[in-house]
Amino acid sequence: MNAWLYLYFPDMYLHSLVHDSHSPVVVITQDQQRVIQVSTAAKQRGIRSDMPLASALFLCPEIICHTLNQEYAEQLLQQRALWAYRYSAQIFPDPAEGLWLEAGSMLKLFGGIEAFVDTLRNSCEQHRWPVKYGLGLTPVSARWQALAGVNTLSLNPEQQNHALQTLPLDELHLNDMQLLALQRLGIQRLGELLQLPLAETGRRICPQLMQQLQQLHGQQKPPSGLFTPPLKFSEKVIFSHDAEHRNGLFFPLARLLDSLCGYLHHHQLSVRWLALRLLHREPPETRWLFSFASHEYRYEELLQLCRYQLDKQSLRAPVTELQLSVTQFTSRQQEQASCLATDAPKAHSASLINRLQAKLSASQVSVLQSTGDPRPEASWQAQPADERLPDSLARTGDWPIWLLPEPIPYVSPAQIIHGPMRISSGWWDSQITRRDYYQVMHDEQLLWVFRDDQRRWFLHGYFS
Amino acid sequence: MPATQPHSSSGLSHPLDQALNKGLVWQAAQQPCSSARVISSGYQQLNRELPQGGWQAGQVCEIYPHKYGCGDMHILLPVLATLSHQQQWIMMVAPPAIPYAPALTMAGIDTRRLLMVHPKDRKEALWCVEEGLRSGHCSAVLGWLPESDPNSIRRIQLACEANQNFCWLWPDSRYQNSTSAAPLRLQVNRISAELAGLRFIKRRGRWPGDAFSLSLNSATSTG
Repeated sequence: MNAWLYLYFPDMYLHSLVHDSHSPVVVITQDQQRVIQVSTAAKQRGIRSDMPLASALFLCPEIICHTLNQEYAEQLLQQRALWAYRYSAQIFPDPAEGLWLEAGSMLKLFGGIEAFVDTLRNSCEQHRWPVKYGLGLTPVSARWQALAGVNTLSLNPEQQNHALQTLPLDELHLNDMQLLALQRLGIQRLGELLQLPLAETGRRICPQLMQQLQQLHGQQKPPSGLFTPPLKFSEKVIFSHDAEHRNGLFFPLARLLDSLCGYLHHHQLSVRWLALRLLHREPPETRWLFSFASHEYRYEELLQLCRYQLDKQSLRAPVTELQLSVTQFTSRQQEQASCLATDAPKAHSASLINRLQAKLSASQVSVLQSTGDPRPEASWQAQPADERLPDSLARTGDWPIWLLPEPIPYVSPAQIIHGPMRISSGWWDSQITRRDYYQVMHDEQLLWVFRDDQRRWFLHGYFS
Repeated sequence: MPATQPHSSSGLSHPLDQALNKGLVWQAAQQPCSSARVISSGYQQLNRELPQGGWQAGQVCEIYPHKYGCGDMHILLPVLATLSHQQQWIMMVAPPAIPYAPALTMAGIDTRRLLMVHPKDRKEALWCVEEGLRSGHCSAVLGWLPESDPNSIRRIQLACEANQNFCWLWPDSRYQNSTSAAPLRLQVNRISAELAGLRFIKRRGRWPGDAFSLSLNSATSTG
């Protein structure tokens, strides 16, 4: 059965602001021109919504103005959607301070429409949220009934139709242009509008209204923007005895990790970092962030990584509570797709890098990349080990295997085996290199030395 | 293997038997028949000297260069080139300087497979070598260990044997004269620009052998 419930939270933004009921409070638009929402105390002073701010200030100079923060408004709606997710599987947030709940599939669970609506209303009352609801066979019908405050609790098509026929049009949040056009035609109730041919309505009044009228009865297209609850894992362990040493944290942490792995398995996800929060008897609390080189979801591997990371930490004070939370996840399918890439070994061996970085630090583990620059200093780069590198190009020549990080001053060589090989490059940046390189045999060592353009000798590498 | 059966029936066992039972005496007859992977060293002369005709997986080789930069890395380039084309890491733990990428690329080594690890101290270095071998993600581990002791080498050899990968170690030269669990121990010095002098001071399965010289330009592709 098709059934939709629309919950309309009038002045949701205003009610979310903490204020006492006696002070006149208004919410104004972002450009600070017009009043949008008005508290009861402000209404008593004659302030109405959609009034210019200047007029409102003239009526009541002491009003408290809050500029609408769009981001916060969206957050509020998301919070409401998360709340509603307990009662319906399909939630569609409406930016106009409302939520559509798919009710048809929930009736069996709650034992009828009355029980379903009652549960929601009670919960709203507990939260002190003013709410208007409407029940309809289509999303548009539910919304209009909610806006008009028609609390029909029947899904009988005849009763539904009757309720719709009598809806006053000026309650349906139509815009001024549409209302004016309807008033000119002398139409006040939805029933009168529905008697007119649809195409004519669309042409004369507004195409958008026509679309909504079509959806009122006909197409069952659900509203766009299905709400999905954000992914978050957060669990904690409260210790009966304070943990005084980090080893004491390991077993509770293992339990939390076990639970996390269950969550990861259920959602087919993997994690790249874990946030640990440790509470002590006295504030401040301690926060540790364990990050890994690559995504992981296996229990043994996570346990091992956490053990290494834990070994590096020290406790400031005894711990009374341990909380593990993860807010960023990656789906495992993505990883598998990257496994198929030509550069496959990275994915296989990521757990080794994970472990090395957990035990040491990320800067101590690197891979080599040759850059193709002819200058020895610039010819290579140490890259983070989780980086994917392009294939390096071979440059012919006789190169030493070991390069010194810095050339060391050297004496004029006695036994030159090979050379000179001139490297003159780097005109494009400040590091101009003009050197003659020689292979020099000295005391059973084959050295790579150069003479720079100031005729100084340096040792730069070893042939090994 | 009858030679290792305990002679408990006689009550008092011979001291030699006791030593045999404890595995303190190596016997040529006990040589394990090798099914391990062997990779040609790329030098025919070196292959002849190596017990299995090439570098064998699961056997740690200690390398003692006479001086820094006397060709000890050069003799490993062909085998590293082969290993670098497997889909696994070649881990270098605490390399003494920067491995110069153009030289390695010239030798046919895919430098993207080289994983550099720079541990802070000896303990971390040993952990890295062992972890690399045990992880199963490394085809080879090359480790420069500033201080070595028999126990850590034994641990590394056990890890290497269990996972059948390749491991070359450069222990402290002072360690050269003490006993070691590594099956291969190799001394290297440079005779001339193209010639290196090699001598195995230990090789499992054969006598240590004499010094021989190896032409560093004679490497062939190991395939």
